[in-house]
Amino acid sequence: MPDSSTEAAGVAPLGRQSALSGMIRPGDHGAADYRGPGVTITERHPLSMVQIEARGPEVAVMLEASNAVLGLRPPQAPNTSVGDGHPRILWTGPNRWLVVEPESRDLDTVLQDALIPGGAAVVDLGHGRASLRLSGRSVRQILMKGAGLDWHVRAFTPGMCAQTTMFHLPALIDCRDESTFDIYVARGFAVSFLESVTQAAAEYGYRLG
Amino acid sequence: MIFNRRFDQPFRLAEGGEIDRLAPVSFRFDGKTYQGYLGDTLASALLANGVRLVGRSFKYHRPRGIYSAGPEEPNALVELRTGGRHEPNTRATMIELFAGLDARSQNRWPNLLLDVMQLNALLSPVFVAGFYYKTFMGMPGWRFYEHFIRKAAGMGSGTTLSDPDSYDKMHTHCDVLVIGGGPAGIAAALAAGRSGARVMLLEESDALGGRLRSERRNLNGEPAMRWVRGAAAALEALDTVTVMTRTTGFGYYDGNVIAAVERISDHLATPPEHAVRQRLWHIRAGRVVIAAGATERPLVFTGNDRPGVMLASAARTYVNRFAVQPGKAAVVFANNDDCYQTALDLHRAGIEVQAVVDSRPDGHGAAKQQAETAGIECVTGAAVIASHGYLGLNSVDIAPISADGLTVTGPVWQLSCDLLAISGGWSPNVHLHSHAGGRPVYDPGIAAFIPGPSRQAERSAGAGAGTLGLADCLRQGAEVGAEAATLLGFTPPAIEIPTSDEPATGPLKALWRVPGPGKKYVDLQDDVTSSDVELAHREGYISVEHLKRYTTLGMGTDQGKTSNMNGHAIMAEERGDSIEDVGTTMFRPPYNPISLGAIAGRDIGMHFSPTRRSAMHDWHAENGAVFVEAGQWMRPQIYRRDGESDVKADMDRAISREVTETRGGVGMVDVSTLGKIDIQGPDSAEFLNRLYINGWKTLPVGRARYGLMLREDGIVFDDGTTSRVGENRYFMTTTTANAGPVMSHMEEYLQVHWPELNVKVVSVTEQWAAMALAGPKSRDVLAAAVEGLDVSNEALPFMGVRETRIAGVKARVFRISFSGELAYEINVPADHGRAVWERVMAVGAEHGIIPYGTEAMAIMRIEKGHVAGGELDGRTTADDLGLGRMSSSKKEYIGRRMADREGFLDPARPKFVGLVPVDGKSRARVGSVLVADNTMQPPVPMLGHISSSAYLSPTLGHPISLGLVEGGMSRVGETVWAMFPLRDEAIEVRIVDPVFYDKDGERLHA
Amino acid sequence: MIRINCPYCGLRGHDEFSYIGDATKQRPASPADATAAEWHDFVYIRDNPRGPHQEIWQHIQGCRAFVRVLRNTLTHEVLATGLPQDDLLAGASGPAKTEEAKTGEAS
Repeated sequence: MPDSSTEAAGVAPLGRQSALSGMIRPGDHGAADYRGPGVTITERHPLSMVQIEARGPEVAVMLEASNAVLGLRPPQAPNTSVGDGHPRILWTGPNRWLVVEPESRDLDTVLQDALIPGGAAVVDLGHGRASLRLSGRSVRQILMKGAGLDWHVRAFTPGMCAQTTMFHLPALIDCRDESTFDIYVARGFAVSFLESVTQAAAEYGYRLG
Repeated sequence: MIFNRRFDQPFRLAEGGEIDRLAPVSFRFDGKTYQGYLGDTLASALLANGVRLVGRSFKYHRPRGIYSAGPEEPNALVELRTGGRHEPNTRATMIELFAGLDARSQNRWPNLLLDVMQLNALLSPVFVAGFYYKTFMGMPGWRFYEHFIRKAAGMGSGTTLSDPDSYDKMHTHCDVLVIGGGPAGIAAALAAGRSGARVMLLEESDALGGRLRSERRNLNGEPAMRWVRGAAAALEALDTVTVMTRTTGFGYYDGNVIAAVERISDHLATPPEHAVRQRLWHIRAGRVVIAAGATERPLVFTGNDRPGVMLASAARTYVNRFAVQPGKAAVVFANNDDCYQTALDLHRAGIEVQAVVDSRPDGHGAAKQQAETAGIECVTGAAVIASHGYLGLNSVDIAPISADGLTVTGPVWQLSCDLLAISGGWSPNVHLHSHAGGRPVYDPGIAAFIPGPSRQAERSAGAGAGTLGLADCLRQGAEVGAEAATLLGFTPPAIEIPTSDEPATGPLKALWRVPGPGKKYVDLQDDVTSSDVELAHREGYISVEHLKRYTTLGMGTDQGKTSNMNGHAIMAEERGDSIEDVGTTMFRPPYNPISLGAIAGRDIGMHFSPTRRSAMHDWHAENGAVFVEAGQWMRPQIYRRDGESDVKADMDRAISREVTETRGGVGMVDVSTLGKIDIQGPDSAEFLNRLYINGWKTLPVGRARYGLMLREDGIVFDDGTTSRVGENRYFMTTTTANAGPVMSHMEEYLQVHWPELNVKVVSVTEQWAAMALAGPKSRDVLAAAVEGLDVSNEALPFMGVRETRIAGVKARVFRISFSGELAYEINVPADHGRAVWERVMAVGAEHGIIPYGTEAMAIMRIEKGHVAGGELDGRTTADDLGLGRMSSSKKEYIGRRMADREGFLDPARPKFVGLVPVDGKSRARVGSVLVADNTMQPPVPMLGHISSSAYLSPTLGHPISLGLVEGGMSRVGETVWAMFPLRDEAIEVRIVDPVFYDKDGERLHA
Repeated sequence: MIRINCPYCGLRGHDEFSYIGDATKQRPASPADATAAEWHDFVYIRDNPRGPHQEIWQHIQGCRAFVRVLRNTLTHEVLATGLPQDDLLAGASGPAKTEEAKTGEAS
């Protein structure tokens, strides 16, 4: 498509405005516990999120090219995730992954350049989802309140991710360590989701930050 | 604290029980203050205070007392708490006493002692089963009587205040779920838990133990509760075992999913701050051990409902667990060995046991000998045939009966007593087994139904499986628990089974009806007597399901826990069939009453369903938007200005203003909710060609096209524009309502029907904030907003698509129009949505730009004659909507082969038209039926209907509508009538061209 | 709750799935050549069997895969699952597996 504005010199790019801007009241809320808040809720923003997908023989090519450009191979096993976060690659469907990292480069363009020649589809979803990080001793209780998967420490371990419904809306849930989870929801649901999470967390006490 | 004062609890024993005598608790019942102890239930505390009359019965307003000590309680239902926490029909036997508890009796007026409705009891011969149906149905004035009838027969009343507490839901998984924390359940949990399996043990009461809490039994030579506490500690020590008390597993569903309710704060006056009152659990279990125990049955004799008559097991519970005397002088009446143990326990508690009446010709076993040794008079081959007393029991009539139990064979004698403990045997709680699809089978050995073959991964153990002896319960619990773990691949070690001192018991002899005249209650809660069952039989309601519905046997809050077995056995006797053949009614969840709060959880108010907001939501809110729900989205309906309220006149003014100022200048609407789908891959054009009725192979990069999709049956599915944004990349938009269905539709064809196509699709609805800039001045505003893009008509023609930057942000501009004006849609990554929106509003200020809402948007599209939701109603074809010419005959597309069916080609099909009121002002409602004239008598041939209406078109100055009418455009100029019979509306309307505004599209292409 | 074994995600509650339709109906491979009767059968004619029935469900709140499900309409029991093109009746007693699929409760 013709882009007549590649020379947009002189205009400073605007900062991204999170779907939750103004909604996070930093501090401790809910029940007070001598051990401190049961869960800490932080927004992860701004993130780059790019979906990559291939079909048939394109898949092997894409996995190689991803490895070359990201230094990380998308995980083969369904519902698993890899990477330290720079980037993190999550399986989201057959031959489909989400590449996530804190925004620092034009990840969409990086991946388009690297993967499109091999036939992969590359789609920027960085603005389409909001992400919360939940961590602390009560984090699995909150997952149990919102979603029906097995959140037992023995069952849902670091490096596993899953898409399900949480508090009645679609969510992608990534286990980072035993008591830390990154949750992705559609941007439009972010406020509703945050409200549900904080309601659920009130009995354990929660820290917003 | 004062604990050396002697509280006035005249029926409290000096020692014993599980109560905490250092923690006296004061509470109120019917306005009077009493004291009990922590560890009491409301029922035990009332009995300790000598309160025996606690309610009036449902239909006859008979005085009723506490009948049981558990969840089966049919009588002692009270209203608990006040204000928003008020809760009717709460079982006094299940309420843990807390300080400040306030309960009231129900179904009495003006008070419990003097209830005027007890006159109903005098009329009881007429209030037989089916009385109301027979008397009032079909009679004039039912609506008048109904109010009084419902008031007279009833339960507690609810509250209209909202509940201040919060309720919650949780999901969990386990390998082995054990339901019931009695001896069998504890043994099962220990056996399964020691294998390493994840085990959950649910116990309805506040502590483990089950019947062991209520019986004087030894295990391994020590009081049984010592073993229970040891087992509880052992379970606690296993980190794979979770024990939940105050938790009832109440429903067993498909897929081995069990629902349970945890009463977290019910035993407190109010929940602590931030705490939850009750929590509903959804438990997905590998295997389930149902150790739900058994329920003791009453005996059916005349006057068996009088306060003072009580289940024998309950009498033992009150003396042993609560250290309460449920009376001072007792008679025990049973058809099994329970009577002797009961007599011994009562005797030991200082209650004068007048006699044990055993209906069996011979007494059995060691228990009888013990009772006789204790000096208790034991009568066999006899029955209590009647009870006496006004508000409570004061004597019983006893007589010898025949061996078959059908006749009185000798003289009647009377004994004074204020307590009659009765036992008709035990019925296993087969409810959960039955929920899980199992069919209980009759076991004549215990005269009760026991679980049949399992349909899901469950097995019952203990009394719930019909295993009534303590030693057998423990052994079977361990065996079933170990089996569950083994079936899931674990290796359970053997566990030690404690030895019991329970004496051997003899068999019971079923006695379903005691002979004698008078009212014998089968179902105490619903006031169903044995004669009601007999009447049902005479009138042909011989199936147990009909019996239930005709007599209400087994309905109500207790769902027949104490009555079903007796009622069904009496029906079997009447029919002359075996109990096996008569069967039992189907049990359905919930096992016990569950509060609506627990079922609703947090899905109330604004969280009834999640809401979805666009990136510009806050700007809209700050600028006067009134929001409307569109699916889950919150969309601005209109923008109010200072001084405007939500009265209709102000709303109308705002709508008109938004239309007029947009058509006269420029306006902007948030269209972020439209579905957006990114399509990539070499076969994308082919895929679009198959999805849409029109052709896509010639669309150049940088252009958009309007497309129409059909379903396979040839009916219109959705419409929208799709743009080619790259060689093999397209950007589709769908209607807001169909964003999800269209996405799923495309995935279905790619995965199921056409896996050979190399196309990847993903929803990008949320990635892009979208705004439509419309009006003759929109180009000027756009030109000022974009950076380095020529937006002239030549450079960016109608249906052109360009990438540009606005406020430094990458943006896509589409020259498309829904309003019929010169218009552009601007898409930017959502995190920049608000900033770009504000930039456009700022540069548009000098052109008088306004924001407009969904009302103005809808009116402008109706004026322009565009089809939308009202027309895409799942019944219309492309031809019906005047869009048939779009379809390509050169290709195959979804729906093509069904679209040209004969019925769809019928010229009489209603077709898309515009409609205006002949009087220039009447507003024809959406859904109005179009008919030839307003004087016709039914049946009136229907010519069509109105699909969309603008109650006022500000542009035209009168109401306009869109609709479908037989003959369509060939009838332009004719008038028909729009009828809306529900509102008695009849409006004459003229058929016109559906494009009311700018028919030649000059504004669009300007 | 019915639980369905997604070939990719394992056992999940049916509330994550969307029922799509009868899997025994095959869309005419050559639309132009199919007779009106064949189209009618594909679009409208549905058996309502009592017992095992093949259905297509979409794991719409999960990986979005379409899943073929052999379900007993009488008992709600899910007897087998697989990908849309799999043949579940060919001796399949357990869930069909794809190369990278893994089953089980875990995820």
